[in-house]
Amino acid sequence: MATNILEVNMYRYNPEEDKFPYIKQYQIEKPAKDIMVLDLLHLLKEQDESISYRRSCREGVCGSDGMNINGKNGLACITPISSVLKKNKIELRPLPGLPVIRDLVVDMTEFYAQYEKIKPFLQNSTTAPEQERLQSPEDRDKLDGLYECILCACCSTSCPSFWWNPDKFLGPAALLQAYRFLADTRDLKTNERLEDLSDPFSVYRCHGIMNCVSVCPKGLNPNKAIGEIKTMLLKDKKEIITTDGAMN
Amino acid sequence: MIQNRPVNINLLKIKLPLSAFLSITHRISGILIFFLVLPFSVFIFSELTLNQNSFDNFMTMYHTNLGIKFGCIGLILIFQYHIFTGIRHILMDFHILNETLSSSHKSAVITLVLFAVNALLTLLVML
Repeated sequence: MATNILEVNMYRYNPEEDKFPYIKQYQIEKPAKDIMVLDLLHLLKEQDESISYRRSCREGVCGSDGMNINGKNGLACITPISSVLKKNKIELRPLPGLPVIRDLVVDMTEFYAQYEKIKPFLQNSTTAPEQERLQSPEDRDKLDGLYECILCACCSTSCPSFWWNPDKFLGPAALLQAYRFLADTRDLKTNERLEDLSDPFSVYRCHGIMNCVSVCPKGLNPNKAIGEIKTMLLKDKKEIITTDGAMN
Repeated sequence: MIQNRPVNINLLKIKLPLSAFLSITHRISGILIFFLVLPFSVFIFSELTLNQNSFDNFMTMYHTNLGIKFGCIGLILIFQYHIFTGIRHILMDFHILNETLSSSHKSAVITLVLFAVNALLTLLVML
């Protein structure tokens, strides 16, 4: 029966054979129960073993299998096919905006470079106490919704501002982590961090498109974090005015 | 590193939320204001204020030539669209509108409805 056949359109590119990427169509019998997109990829790989994709934990923790599923970025391992199927069709493409190495595998160098820029580690030069640096439960609560990011790059590669300036605009993933350390009371380099973010590109290229929030597989809100950074940058400027009498 | 790797950036194949449409068209309308609305408005204003004769000339053209009439309405609508979507962005920047997906979708719909009502009123006044 035709209704039991899934049509999978996949972005294919093998740099050793293909000059340009192309879309290849696969037909596969619809599985009896609802499976994840990653399981579907495994079934397709039995048909065509040249298909390439990244995967590891298969439970939405490692962030390896981020891809564009029917136009929306997401993790293949935690996306049930029933939630994305349209007329028994699925289109699988690599994450947009990053160079494609092969099929669904992209080069994440640019993404990681932006993450490195925000210095994603605690900076505190005071002598560490014997056990650990303590925080009040209220201060710890400020990090909820920030520390859970798994760096799958779904958000940054869905952001038109990041496509436009992947080298200058930090992107939602890096900015969420930037705010994670700005909000941390144990981190003492807040002013230096804000100084690094104050150029016209790093933060201010965000125009509230909200696609990062729409695609995040962990349900985080980078747009809100960016809003908080913008407010901190404004407050920072205000303090400079009051202490020095004039800005800069 | 291989330099000429392809990039998947087929905009027709990537889904964007309604707020993306508003943000992108807000920028486009901003560009149009600078290169289209502003120069034409200055030109029309100078025509209207030059002397009585050129004022009458322009008004007859406006009432007889549909292209000019709709062109003027178009210029006004572009400007109004930019203001409407701009106010939404300002409200979000000041955290007055909640920065969640659902509230940003709601505010996008409200902005579009308000703009549509406003466009209708503008048409009624100008026609």
